[in-house]
Amino acid sequence: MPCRLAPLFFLVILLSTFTSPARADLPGNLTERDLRILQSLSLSALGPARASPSNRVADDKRAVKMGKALFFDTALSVDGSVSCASCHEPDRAFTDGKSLAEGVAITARNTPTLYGAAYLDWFYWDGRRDSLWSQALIPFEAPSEMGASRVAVVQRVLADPDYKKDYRTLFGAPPELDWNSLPDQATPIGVTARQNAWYRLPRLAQQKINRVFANIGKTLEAYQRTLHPPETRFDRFVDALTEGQIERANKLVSEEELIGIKLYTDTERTQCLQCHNGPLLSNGGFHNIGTGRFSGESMDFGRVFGLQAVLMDEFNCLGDYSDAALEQCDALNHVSQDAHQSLHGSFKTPTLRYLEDTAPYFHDGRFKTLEEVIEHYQSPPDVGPNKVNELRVLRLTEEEKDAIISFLNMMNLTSP
Amino acid sequence: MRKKYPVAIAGLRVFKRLCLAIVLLLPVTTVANDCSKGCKAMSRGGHFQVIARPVPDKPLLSEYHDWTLEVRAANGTPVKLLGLSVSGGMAGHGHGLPSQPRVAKYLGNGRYRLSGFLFNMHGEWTLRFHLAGRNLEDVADLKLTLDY
Repeated sequence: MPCRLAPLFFLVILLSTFTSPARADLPGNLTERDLRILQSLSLSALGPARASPSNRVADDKRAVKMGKALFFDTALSVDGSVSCASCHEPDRAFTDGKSLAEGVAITARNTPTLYGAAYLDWFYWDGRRDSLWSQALIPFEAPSEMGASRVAVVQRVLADPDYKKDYRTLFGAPPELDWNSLPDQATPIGVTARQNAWYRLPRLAQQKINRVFANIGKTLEAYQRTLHPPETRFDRFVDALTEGQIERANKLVSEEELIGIKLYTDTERTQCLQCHNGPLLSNGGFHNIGTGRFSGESMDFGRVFGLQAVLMDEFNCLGDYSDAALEQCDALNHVSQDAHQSLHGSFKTPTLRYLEDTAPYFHDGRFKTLEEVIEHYQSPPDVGPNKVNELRVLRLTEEEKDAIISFLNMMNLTSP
Repeated sequence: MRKKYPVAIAGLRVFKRLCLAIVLLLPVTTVANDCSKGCKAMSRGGHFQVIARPVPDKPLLSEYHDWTLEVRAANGTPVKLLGLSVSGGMAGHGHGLPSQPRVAKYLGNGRYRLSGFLFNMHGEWTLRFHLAGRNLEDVADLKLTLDY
C-alpha cells in the first residue's frame, strides 16, 4: 500500500516545486513570482537615466542651474505671464491639476508629470519629439502655451547678463548676428505673419537662431533630468520584502492594498502590467485604448501624426542641432512604422506613480477620478478607423476596483 | 525474482512512475523560452533554417538590444542572403513590434548581427524573419516569451 501511494506523493512534491505557491513568510498570499513582479516595479529597480547623446550638456551641473532658472522664468512667454512651471508645478508632481493645460490659452492636452522623464524615449502624448531638449522648445512657440517666438526667447536670454554668462560658459560665444535687429515675432510656427517674418530671414540667420534656441532647450533638459521620481510607501514596502523584513513590510501595507497588489500582478485578470510595467509603471510605448477622437473639436489621432512629426523635426537626434553620432540615435534609427501598429488613436502610456497629484487622467484629462478610469477599462469603447483597441474587457467587482485603487494610492507622494 | 527482491522491484516501479510524472509535468512547468539559449526554426517553405539569439544573452524589457541570426540552407550550408528584414509583434494584443530592428552587419558564414530590438511588454512575442535568397523568398517565425 505505501508503495502504491509513493508516485502520488512524488507527484505532489513535484507540483509544489515547479509551480509558484504562496510563500508562507510573505503577506497576502504573495508568491515568489509576485515578489519578482513587485521588485520590478519598485524604484530600487530603476537604473541610471537613459543617456542623452544628442545633448552634450545633459548632465552638466552648470546647465542644470541655467535650465532651472529658465524653467521658472515667465519673461520667456509672450506676455510675461507664464513659465514652464505654470503647468509643471513642483508641488503637484510637476502637473497642474487641470484637465487641459492652460498657458496663455487653453491647450488640447493634459499636462504629464516630469518625474522620470529622463527615462523616456518619446515626448508628448503622441511622441512628436525624441529628446527632452527638443520637447522643451515647443511650448515657447505654441500659441496656447507660452505664445512667444524662438527669436524673442533667444533675444531675451542673450540680453540677460546672467543667462549670457552661463550660455558662454556652456556653449562658447553666441553666433555673430545683429540680434537686436531681428523681428521678435519670427517663428516657423503659428499665424502667417509670424511665419512670414521667419521665412524672410536668410537661411544662415535662421540656423544661428536655431543653434542658440536648441542650446536653451538643452539646459532645460539638464534641469529636468534631475527630477528623480520620489520614493513612496510602495517602494519602502517592496524593499522591506526584499530584505526579508516581513514585519516591517506588514506595517506598510493594508489588507485591501494586498488584494489590489494580487489583482495587479494577476496578468490573466487585469493585464495592467502589459503597459504599466517597470519602476515607472509605464513601458513608454504607444497604445490604443480606445481614447482617440477622430472627429469634432477635440479631434486627436495620437501617435499616427506624432510619428510623422518626429521624423520631420529639425531638432531630432539625427538633425543639425544634435550632438549625437548617427549610430547613437537608437530610438529614431529604429522607430517603428509598422502598418500593423495601431497608431491611429494610440497615446503614450503614462506613469501610474503619484496619481493623486496628477489628476485628471488620460491625454485629454477626460476623467477626474480613478473610479472613472477603471470604468473605462471595464467597457472600453471601440473607436477609430478600424473600430479596434488593444484592451481586453476588465471584469472586476466593486470591492476589487476599490482594492486596485488602494494599491495605486500607495504610490502617492503624500501616502503615509 | 519477485519473491527474491520485493523491495527492489517496488522501488523500480516507483522510479518508473516518477520518471513518467516528470515527463508529463514538463510541458506545463518549463521556464518561458526567451531564446537566451538560441531559438531555432525552419522557414515556412522549408528553404532555410534560422537560429536566433539575443545579445548578450537575454532580452531585457524596454532596452534596445541586438540579436544574432544564423541562416542555413535546408541541407545545413550557411547562406548569405540577398535580403533580410524583421517584423513581428504580439498576436495576443493585436500590435506589432514597438521598434524596427535592422541588419547591422553581416558577420560571415551565414551569420548576421541585427540591431534595434525592443520588447516593452511581458508575454508571447513573434519575430518574423523575411529571407530573400537567390530566386526564392521565405519567412521564418520564432516565438519567445518574456516573463518575470
